[in-house]
Amino acid sequence: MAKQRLPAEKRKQSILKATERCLARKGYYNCTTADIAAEAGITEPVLYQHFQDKRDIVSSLRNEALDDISNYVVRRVVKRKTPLEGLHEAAEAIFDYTVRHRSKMRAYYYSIPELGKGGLRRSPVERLHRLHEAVAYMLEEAQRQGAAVDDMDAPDFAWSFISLVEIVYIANALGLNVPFKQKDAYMDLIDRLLSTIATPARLEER
Amino acid sequence: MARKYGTRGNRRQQIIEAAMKAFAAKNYDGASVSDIADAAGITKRAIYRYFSTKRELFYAVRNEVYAAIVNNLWSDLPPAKDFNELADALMRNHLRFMLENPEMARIVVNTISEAATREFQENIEALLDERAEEIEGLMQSGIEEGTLDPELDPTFVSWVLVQIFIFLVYMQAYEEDWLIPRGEEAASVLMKPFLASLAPRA
Repeated sequence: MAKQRLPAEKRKQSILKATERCLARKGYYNCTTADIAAEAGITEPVLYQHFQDKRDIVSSLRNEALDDISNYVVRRVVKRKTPLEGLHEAAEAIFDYTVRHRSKMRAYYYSIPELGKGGLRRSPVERLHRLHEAVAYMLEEAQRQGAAVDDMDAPDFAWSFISLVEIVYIANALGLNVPFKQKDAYMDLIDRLLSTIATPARLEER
Repeated sequence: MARKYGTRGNRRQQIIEAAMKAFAAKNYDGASVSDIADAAGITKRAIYRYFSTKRELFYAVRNEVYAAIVNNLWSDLPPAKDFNELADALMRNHLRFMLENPEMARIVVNTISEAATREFQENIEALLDERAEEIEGLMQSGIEEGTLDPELDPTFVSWVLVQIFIFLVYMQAYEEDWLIPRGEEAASVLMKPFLASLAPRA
């Protein structure tokens, strides 16, 4: 096949796609820049025109994956009227996005071996903190509106909620199929958890 | 320097422990075999007598870490009166162990990308399946006791619990501010609403 000269942005995207596939297949340590270049159908020098090194590529990939999933979740959550419905929707959106983009989300998690090297380390922790802040805010909002019981500690409960949400990421990273085939059972657990803090009046309305 | 001649098993263990610390601190790429040899107080050559490559050593460390985490789960469990107490105790046991061994949490997180390899995936699936089966047995008795909703699918829920165990490892590896100061109490705070949600519906 004749090699095409692609515009820089397109070339970058094709390298990111190639990295996604390479990471999902080989894991972080075994996927080399040579593998990525081969997968993208280019030479290593061309790859280095666009990225400094493997870390640089992986860092772009994870930022892109993060932006993508957050935008998707927010788009869905804003359509819901109440905070508790919003939390249900957020969990479902994360589930749906992960099912649809399994190799992208795997690649996201597979870049975590860089944890501790600075730079990349911040992003998984920041993602978790942003998620926690948003969930705790929605829980407090639910309390203000009288939809959630007052004696619930919003930041604490937010971590319980998140631990149930995060298993989707983890299961996908580990290549397990269990939750992805049982969406109803999974969402039932989310709803059960949310119903432990819903005020009785709200429950009757539903 | 006087050389220590341990038994073979001993020396191997010594290398694994030094490697665990090095890999946790500097990751796979950053930790050299020389670093590990220095930390273990032996020569590089001695390491290569036990492990033919750095990768082989890394896999040995990984297997050791997973086995240690799993073996700890059921050790010294306090007596529990029902499923909820038992699940809480398991989670506390697990978190206490992770807090005491932060380098193990880092190894788990650092090796997750290896799940792309078939060998690791099969290992971890077998490992998790076993844990899930143990918990499933307990859930059955919880349903009989009336503490758990009979409508729940015990296989699915026990599997979810196992995943929450892994999530705790992540929180520990991230040195999560919420988790660390609370110590093992954090496990109970995290689990309480989840366990309450599994009660039979009124």
